[in-house]
Amino acid sequence: MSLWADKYRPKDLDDLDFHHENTRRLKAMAKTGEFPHILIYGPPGAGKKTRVLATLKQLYGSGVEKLKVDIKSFALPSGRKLEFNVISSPFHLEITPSDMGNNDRIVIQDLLKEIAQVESIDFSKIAHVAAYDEAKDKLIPKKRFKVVVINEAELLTRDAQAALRRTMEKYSANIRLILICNSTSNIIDPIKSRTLPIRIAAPKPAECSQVLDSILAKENHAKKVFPDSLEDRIPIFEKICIASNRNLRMCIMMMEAMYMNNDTIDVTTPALIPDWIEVIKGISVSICKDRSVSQLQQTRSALYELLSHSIPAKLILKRLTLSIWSSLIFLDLPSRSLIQRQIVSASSIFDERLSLGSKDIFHLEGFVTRVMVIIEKELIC
Amino acid sequence: MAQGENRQKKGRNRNLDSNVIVISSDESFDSIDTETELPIVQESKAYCKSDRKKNIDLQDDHARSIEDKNYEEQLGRVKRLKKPTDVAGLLAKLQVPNGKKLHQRCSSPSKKNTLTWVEKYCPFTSSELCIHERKIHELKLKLHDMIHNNTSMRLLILSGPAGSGKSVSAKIICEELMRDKHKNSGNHMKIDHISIEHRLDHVIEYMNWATSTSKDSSSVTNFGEFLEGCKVLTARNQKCIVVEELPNLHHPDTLKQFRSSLTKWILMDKKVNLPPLIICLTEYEVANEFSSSMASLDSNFKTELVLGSEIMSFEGSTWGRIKFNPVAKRYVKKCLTRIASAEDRTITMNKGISRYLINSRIEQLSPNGDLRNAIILFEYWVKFCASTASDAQFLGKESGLNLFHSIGKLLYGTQHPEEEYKTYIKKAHIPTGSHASYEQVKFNIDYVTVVNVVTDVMRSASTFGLNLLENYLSIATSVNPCIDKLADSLSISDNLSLKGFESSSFNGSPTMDEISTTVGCLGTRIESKRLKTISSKPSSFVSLRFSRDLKSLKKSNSIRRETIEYSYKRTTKLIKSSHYSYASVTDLLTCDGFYEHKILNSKKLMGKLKDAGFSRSLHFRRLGGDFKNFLLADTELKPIEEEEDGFDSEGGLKAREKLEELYFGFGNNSDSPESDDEFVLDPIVFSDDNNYSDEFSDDSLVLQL
Repeated sequence: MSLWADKYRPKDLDDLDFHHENTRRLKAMAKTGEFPHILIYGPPGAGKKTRVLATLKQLYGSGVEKLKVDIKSFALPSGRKLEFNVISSPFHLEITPSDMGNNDRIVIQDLLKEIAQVESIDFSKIAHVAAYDEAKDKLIPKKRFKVVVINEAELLTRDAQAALRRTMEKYSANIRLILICNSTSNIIDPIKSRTLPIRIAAPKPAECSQVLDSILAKENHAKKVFPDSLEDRIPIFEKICIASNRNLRMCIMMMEAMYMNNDTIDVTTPALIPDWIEVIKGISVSICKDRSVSQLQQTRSALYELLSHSIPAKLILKRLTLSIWSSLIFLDLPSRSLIQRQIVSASSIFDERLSLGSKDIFHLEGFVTRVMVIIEKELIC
Repeated sequence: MAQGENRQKKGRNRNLDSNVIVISSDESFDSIDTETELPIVQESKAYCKSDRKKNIDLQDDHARSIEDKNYEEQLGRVKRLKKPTDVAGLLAKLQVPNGKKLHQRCSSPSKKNTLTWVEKYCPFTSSELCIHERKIHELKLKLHDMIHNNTSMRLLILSGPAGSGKSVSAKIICEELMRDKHKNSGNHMKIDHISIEHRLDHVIEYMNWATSTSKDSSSVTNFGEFLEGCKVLTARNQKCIVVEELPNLHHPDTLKQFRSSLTKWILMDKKVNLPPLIICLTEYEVANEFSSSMASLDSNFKTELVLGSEIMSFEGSTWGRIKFNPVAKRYVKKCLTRIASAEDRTITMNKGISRYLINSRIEQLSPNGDLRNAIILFEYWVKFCASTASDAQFLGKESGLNLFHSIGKLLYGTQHPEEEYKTYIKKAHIPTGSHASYEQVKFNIDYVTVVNVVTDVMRSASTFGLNLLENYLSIATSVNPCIDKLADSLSISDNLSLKGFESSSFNGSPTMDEISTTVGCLGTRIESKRLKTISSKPSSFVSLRFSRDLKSLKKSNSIRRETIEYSYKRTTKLIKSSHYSYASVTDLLTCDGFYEHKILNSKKLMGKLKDAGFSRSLHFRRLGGDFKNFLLADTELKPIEEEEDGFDSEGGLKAREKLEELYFGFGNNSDSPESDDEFVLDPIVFSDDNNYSDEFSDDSLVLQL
């Protein structure tokens, strides 16, 4: 068995708990069989992948759930062999560009070509199409195309994206792409223009609460740990929801972890915040408390630790900015809003630098130093 | 790698041929000479052979590859060298007392310069070694024990920088000790594929290209085969094995084989008698921007990395190690003086160099630390430079990249402006006279310093920047705008290097490196200067540190690998239970990894565990480890172990499996409403109680083992 977050993942479009308008449109598309290339984006924990899998199920029936893991190997021009996992069902397959590093262009091109060509000589499919023509309304229309889901599409290199754009047109008869990403800022315009963009927003706190409560309803023991009446539970759910930044996946895990670590849970029970966020909070609190050379050195150690745990530098910067923003309350600053503005401005500068640079630590350290100087200057005045 | 292997193979062929020739010339020579003279001649011939090997050692890769191409030619050269007359001629130079007769008979002027001084003045007895007496004593003691089987040590590693006398002392001392042991062993065995040095009767050397050329033995397993062959060299045939040349360890498979054969050797049954094995390891570092990490053999050839953690763990029990230091100044001086007096006739008569000049040169060369290099430089100077030379033209050994010196110059400013100016002129290739004089540049000395530093560190620009970042705070006393600007300029410098763009044509181009490094360095210098003027109290000197970046990179790679492995397991597990959905590495590290460890380490689950009769406390490790072991910057460079597996040990894995089974197991059962009450009382009792306890006891046994 698995964690609740995986266990209670809805499998059908009808089971999805929020964004009903989105769901309705996806369902309509899947039913008619006129399925475009799709670009799904939105913050983590909003249900993008769940939605994609549910749509696929709607499209092809339960056959898409028969997954298998294949290890594909590609010979690169350099002579090296690249091996990575492809998860596939008879109707779709799922690839992750980060597995392929800088060779994603060749791999994706070859892979898509292979699928497209194999599909086009698959006679059984033609037979299905014929069957579809005969009895239009009775049968679930068999799709002539395969769906390729690309996870973390923002990690595709520019080369690969450029190659994808060509492939999308060339093989559009046999392949449909679903690109999943957190933000479209790294996706090139030609691809954005060829896909149907669907934004999945993070759920509202009320929607989160609803999901959490429905899970509790299925977990009998866990329910006993929480208060009996719904009115008492709602504040706890909302607290979890805010602590996890409306990331539903994190919400569910947090609830499960809280249940396992507490005998009873009420509003006063502290939320279990991930350790790396705690580290960042620690940094921001200490920046607001004390700005000295030794503090700067300690901060550097903490930053190195976060980076070596493969926490993306941009995420660190974002969290740090927000967390410093809220920690400023502890300081007696004459013009807090001005300082906040300056900090956000510094944050945006170093965010840009992070995109351009190669060694993240330079820019994170630069940001921390800048913030310290900004606050210090204000305090002296 | 493949090329290297190829080269090895070629080399091996070549040597086999030359070995054959050695033997044949040996025989013909024997037939010519009288018996009394034979030993000396043999000795000298063998000596010259070893010299040839050394010669090849000294040549760089390029020369080697050329050699391979012209291997036929080379063969010819070897043949020529092996002629008896040559040997005698060489012997004449050795100034062996007994050789005098031969000297008169055979010496010919044309052969005079065939030997370099390094080979010519190679020591013969341990008393001649230019090494600290204590080291020699230590070496003698250890070797004596090994030869007489008084110790559990089976392997002795001599490590140290190039030219510190490792191989020479190993061979000489082995030979002396072995001679002492059995003085009259006239019949030494000849093993086909092992080259036997006649001078060093009791020493066998490994040469990676010198072993058998049969098709079925690859260079990968070559070393292991050599060791196998050497096992029999005990008792009456006892010999010391000196491994001076290692197989191509940059080839992963060869390295693996090498380690495993060494492990086999040192862990062999105590009852088995093994000949003493001595390995000489020349340790060095290469500033290599493009190698994956500092902890790889490619850039950092250190004993720890060569042997790997497994063998290192036996240090002191089944193998010993003696660290050689760079040769001390007085020993280099002694040695050079000895050579100077031996060559006195050539030097003063032919070249007319005054003794005073020689002495001052020796004085200059003495702090070199690399004896071999010092002798080569001395010889070169005497032969070619001394008569014409002005001091400026003297070529010294380039003192490698001096990182901290450069950083110090940037942070504190230069201490010797005039020297800085001179270096500037040299490095910028500006001929003297055609530019501003020192007086004019004096006010701009900071810029001059920066240019000097930049030319030094350009090729390892980003490493230098990281080290600068690690150290710039040592001059600051408080947080002020200068520090901000300094950090800012480092950040800009990183952006300018354009390393982040994989496909950019500027990526890694020297121009961008130079620009970015200059921006970083200049910014640092200017701001540190301003910092100095505004800070009220003088900054205390803090010892400089190496950047943590490499460590961090290493850690992050290992965490990444762990996560990918975890992700793979998760995928297979979820596909089985048809709950699969993709989760990225970041997702797993920021969310799943943390909560799973929180859930599986929860109080409740631990309580259940105890109830289940599992007393041993288990801990489920957070994916990637806790955020507690902050990396610290070191003041000295410690090579990180190559295969230090940060994650799950055997026990950790077991714990993980058990906890997962326990949690997800009962999670499964709790779904069914009838087990509801049971669960609250005792969750483990249901279904297969017996199975559980059995498994647990089995597991704890495993864990104890």
